[in-house]
Amino acid sequence: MSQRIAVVAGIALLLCAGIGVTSSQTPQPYVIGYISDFSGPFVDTFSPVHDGFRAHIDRVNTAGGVNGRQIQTIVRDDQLNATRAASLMRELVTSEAVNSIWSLSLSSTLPGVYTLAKRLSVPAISSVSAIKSTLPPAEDYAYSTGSPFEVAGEVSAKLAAPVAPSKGKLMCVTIDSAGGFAACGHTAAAAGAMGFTNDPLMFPPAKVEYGAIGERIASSQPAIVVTHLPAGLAPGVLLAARSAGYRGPMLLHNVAFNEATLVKAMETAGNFENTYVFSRYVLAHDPLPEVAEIGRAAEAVGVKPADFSGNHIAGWVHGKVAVAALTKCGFPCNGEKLNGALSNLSVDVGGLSGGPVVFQPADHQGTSWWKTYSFDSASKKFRPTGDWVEAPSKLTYTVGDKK
Amino acid sequence: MTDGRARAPAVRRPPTLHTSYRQTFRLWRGKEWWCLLSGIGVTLIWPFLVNAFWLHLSNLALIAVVATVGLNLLSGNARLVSLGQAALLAVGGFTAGILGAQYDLPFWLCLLTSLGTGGLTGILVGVPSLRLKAIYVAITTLALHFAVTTLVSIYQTEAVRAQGIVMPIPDFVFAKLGDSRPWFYFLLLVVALVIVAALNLERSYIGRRWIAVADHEVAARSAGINISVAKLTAFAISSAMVSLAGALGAYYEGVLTAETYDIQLAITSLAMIIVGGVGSVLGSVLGALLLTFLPYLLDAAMKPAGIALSGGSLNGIHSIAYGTLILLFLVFEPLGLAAVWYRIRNTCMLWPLKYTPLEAKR
Amino acid sequence: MQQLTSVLGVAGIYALLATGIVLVYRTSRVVNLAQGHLAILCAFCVAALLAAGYHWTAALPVTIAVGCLIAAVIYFAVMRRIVGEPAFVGLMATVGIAILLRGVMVVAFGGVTITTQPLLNGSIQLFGADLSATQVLVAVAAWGVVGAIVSVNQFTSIGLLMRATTENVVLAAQRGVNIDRIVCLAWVIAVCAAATGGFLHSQRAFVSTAAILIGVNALIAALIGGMDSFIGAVIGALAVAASEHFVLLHFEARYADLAPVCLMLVILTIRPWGLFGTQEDVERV
Repeated sequence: MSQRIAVVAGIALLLCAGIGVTSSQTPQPYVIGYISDFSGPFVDTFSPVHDGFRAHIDRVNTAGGVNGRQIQTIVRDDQLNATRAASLMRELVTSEAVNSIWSLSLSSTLPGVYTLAKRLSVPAISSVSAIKSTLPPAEDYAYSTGSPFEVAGEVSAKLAAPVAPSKGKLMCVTIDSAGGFAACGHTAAAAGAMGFTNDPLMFPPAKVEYGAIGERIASSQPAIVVTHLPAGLAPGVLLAARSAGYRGPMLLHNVAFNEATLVKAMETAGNFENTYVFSRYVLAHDPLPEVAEIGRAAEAVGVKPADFSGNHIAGWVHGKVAVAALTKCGFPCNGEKLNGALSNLSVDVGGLSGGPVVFQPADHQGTSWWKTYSFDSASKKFRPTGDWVEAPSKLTYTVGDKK
Repeated sequence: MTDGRARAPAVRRPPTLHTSYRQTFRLWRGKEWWCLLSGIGVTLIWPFLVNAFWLHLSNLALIAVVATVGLNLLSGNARLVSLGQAALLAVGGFTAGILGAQYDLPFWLCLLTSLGTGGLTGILVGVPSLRLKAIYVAITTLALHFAVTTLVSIYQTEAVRAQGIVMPIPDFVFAKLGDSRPWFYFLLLVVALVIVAALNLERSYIGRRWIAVADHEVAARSAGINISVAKLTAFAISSAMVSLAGALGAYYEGVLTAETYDIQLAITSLAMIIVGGVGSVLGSVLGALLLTFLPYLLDAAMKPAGIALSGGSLNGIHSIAYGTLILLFLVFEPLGLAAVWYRIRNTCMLWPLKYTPLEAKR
Repeated sequence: MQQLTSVLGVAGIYALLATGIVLVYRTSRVVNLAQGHLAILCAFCVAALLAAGYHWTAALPVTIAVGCLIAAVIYFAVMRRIVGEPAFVGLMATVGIAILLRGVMVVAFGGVTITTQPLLNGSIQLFGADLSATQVLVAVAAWGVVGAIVSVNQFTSIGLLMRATTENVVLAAQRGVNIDRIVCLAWVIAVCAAATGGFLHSQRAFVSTAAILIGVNALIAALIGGMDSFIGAVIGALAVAASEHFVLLHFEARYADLAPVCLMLVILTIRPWGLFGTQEDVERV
């Protein structure tokens, strides 16, 4: 019996040693961490962002890398769980010696990660979501290339004005969360200043039945509907509203969703009129040559052309920021040094946005540029209307902010 | 293994043989003190054996142990299946959050208050369950889950207006719980207290009353036990423990978000007591430890095998592993990991004898 | 009228799933928490087959066949082996199955949201109102299948055997009823109902792992009506769908999820066995 125990213990020890040996790292390349949601509720948003990010990093690596070194990305799935995101961040920093954490996922995971970033001295940069921590006065080690709810809210009112010039009732539809609250709160404040009346609608994020929501929108008959909804929900609400009979303009905030899903929703509803999208970065339907370039790079990493969406472009821009930061940092580049590089960085993204992505010491979001796209039923694509609208990172309105 | 007081020729008595009624009450029923001490020794030097990440996971596992031991008292001993684990953790977490972060009350006071609010919530959900039977008790706790998560989410959205409440770092007289290591020792202390409390409850009048009510309510009533009091105390004490775990979790994570308390958490907690062994404290400890480490162990196991899975499949594989584990234990070993442990222990201790005396089943 | 069709459609889907839950409970006294997972797994299957180019007349039967296979596996591998254990064990077994199925869904289908091209497009003129054809299809199909299941139970000889098993399992076994076959058949029917429910759900909404929540609502519907009553399942489904819709339309949307649960609590307080459930001395879970 004791012999058997000894043999089993020996095998167990060998297994542990094997696992230990194979997880050792070589320090030559830049090692960055990437934590996002790959299998949770918002995988439709974050998986394409990763593909776009990967496409850009691969292209840079093939061209020789940054400062002559390759960039190695270590990817983890946080399943939209704040605890898991924080645990994985600790794992990446301690076991894999990454110098930064990129992309992250929904805003609910961000506070924990940003707090940990400060504690571990490793910068965390979110790609799609953004919370107040990155707006001035910004917290150290917390950055974002995404769309903060507050900024999106304020700019949405500015963008709604040309779409519904006769003003009237503005219905802001969002999910019942702190982010949604902030988004519609700022939308309402800004819209009210422009002459709109407000009728907000918030529903729980876990909703799957949009029929009643559509009916509520239809029965309210607002002059314009503005939505701040994450990926899987916006097409559903659009479909429900159109099916219930609402024919007015709908302005959807592109919190990174797939244009193709939206088009399908409109096809199912049988209505293509009056649908607009506003976004910080260009959509995949934009006729810019840069967009086609990104599309080709995305195909190289395995993205099907039919799946190419604005999310990939957001990921591409995120990758550009990563490359720019690492270039400025030099080698060796640890978390603190990279943080220094990030806190004073300007990344030119060409025509992908109205201006460069700029980080400054107290402002880790920077001025953002937004454009409205309207749906063209003839070509079944979104076409840009109007110019880029500037949105400063300093908020104009306060919506009952507490601690 | 001879017993000193025996005058007869030295007979090798199994160490788990109890020869008096009083012996069954003992907290430590084995005889191998060296086993217990070496176990304690390894636990004490654990932070120096593992790296920061696994230490962090160990802390999470210890918090899970507190919650699972609490749930086990309710669902294991008193057999009142509760799906309200996430709700109670939220109650504890948000009590600590509101009092600790918003009103800056001291750490120990927040923990004690969370015990109180948890107990009250337990009684609140226990009262309607008195009339209901079986599955309906579970559904009442599910209703509690929905109610609490909605309330907590409304609080976060309206009152806090932020994505989460940032918790202060607990400051004791003698230590500041800023890093994983001091947290580990503090949590060990809490876990030890909780385990001793649970073991004492189990073998005391209160615990045996629960088991009597769970086994046969009519017979218990005819034996003079007040069913309502028994059920309500089960709810109250269990909920208080789980709430304490929630408060500890909130302080440890550093940030409190309402989204962490979803139904998946409640299901995982039930899985922990199933896999560990329903009705035994050792079972809940083992179950909590295994199921907390499992996803990360799977990650580590699949890495050297070079499986380049997209991140998505990893989550799926975790779920498949969880589900399969639960089903395997239910079908083949309904008494869980605790029974497996006792079998190994008895085999080791009784060797070369094969037959396990009845008293040694536990 | 539009709203009524929509609510009837939703209620129909809940009724389908609730009928499955009730059927399994009647024959084996096991509360099936995995009904929603089964429904959405089948919905994913159908969507994948449709996306691969197969016509729905091929995709749907194939999925139902796969569902029957899964039901048989569930019964013979798990449920049969835990007979005789306390009711708690059966419940946790279905929880284990639910977790397993979710994992399978994520691994096999990537956890993404799938949209399917609806079978019917456009609108129908009925009772003087313009109704979406899909909504009508969903409502008609769902209630049709529910009716079919109930009539099988009520009017066929195999249904008679099922009802015998419901009344008293031991007595039925002694009279020569093959309990194995009956319970397995109950599971198969339940999974087929779930598959149909999932398919219909994919017609009117998007399919993703979040859609598993329809199983929770179906469970609430079954509880409201009484765990062993088909009429109860129907009434419960209507009540759940109506309350959800009503609250969403006229109150804060955030309370829409709570409405069915509160309704259930109220009903259970008044009638602890559900509206139409039989008052039996149920063993402790």
